[in-house]
Amino acid sequence: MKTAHCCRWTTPSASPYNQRPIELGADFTIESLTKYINGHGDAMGGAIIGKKEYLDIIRAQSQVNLGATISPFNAWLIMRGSVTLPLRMRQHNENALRVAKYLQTVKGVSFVAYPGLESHKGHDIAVKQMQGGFGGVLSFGLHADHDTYNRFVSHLKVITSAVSLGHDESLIVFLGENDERQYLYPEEFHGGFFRFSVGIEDAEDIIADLEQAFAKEGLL
Amino acid sequence: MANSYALPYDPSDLNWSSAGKNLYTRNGGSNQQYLQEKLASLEGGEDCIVLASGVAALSGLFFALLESGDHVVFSSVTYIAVYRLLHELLKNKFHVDTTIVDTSDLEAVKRRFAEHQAGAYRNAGKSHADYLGHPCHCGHCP
Repeated sequence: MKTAHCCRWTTPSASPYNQRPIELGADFTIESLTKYINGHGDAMGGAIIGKKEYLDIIRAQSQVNLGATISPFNAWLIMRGSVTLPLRMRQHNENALRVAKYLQTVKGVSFVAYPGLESHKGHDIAVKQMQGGFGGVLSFGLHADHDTYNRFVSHLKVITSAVSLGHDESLIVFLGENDERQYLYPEEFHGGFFRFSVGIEDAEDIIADLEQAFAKEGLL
Repeated sequence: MANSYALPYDPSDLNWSSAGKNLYTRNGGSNQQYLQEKLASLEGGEDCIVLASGVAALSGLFFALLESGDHVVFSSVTYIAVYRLLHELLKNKFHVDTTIVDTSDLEAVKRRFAEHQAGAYRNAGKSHADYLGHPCHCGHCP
């Protein structure tokens, strides 16, 4: 066994349509199939991709003896969902970039983090490594207090307040200012922020939904 | 979509822990196998294992390849389950050591590896890196 492994988990921003870490030199890729690969928010699964010599060990120890086997029905659903992966990813990539650019124009938005924006510090690396696009997930903050974040979400009609990401539907989560790992994050995240998984609805509908919620909170 | 598959005439010499043939769905099944082949091809990899969730895949990899005394270098913006598995569970229960690093600073990552390989760390096992760093810092929740 080698002395060092480089493992990369890519799902949130990427999916293999946008980025394939093994081709970039990683030993393993971990995917949450629950996200973009299934893409419909109706099944759960995960995958480890890599060399057979290591995967045989993992298969024997972690599947057979830890018992984290996927159900046949979930495997079937994910196989069916994955058929439309390239179509969906193109729409996620396009929508998220449009939404990120829109959010940058809103006065009440304090920051937008999306690797497709030139303002993002990882943009140059993303251009090199994410050749299909920059994915559907972004984060943004508000010039607002804790309660305003929650009220903003309560006004949304198209976008759903829920965890997970990479579903066909747009999903938003408010992460508050008291997260235990906040100290590891850049300063602009410390006051709380939204994680926004931009779905494949019409981009105009997503932006209109955000706009009416911003208007209700006087953030435009 | 069966849980159990028909056994051969004499099953007494079967390896009940084998993942190599359809025997019992916990050991593997047809739907899983087809999905694995598809994903290996999509990712450009040699082989693939599909499990019950993304976190099952993470814990499956860590459980199988890490040993007590190993050292893991992982990103400060990694997914919360990676943080819990490595920095709390495996660390406290199985003595896997951890270092959290800002992986956008490649020099810092290299330095951490070099320190470890030079024996600067307490433990002298293998080192592993998780180069994960999510650009949107969105790893707090599922």
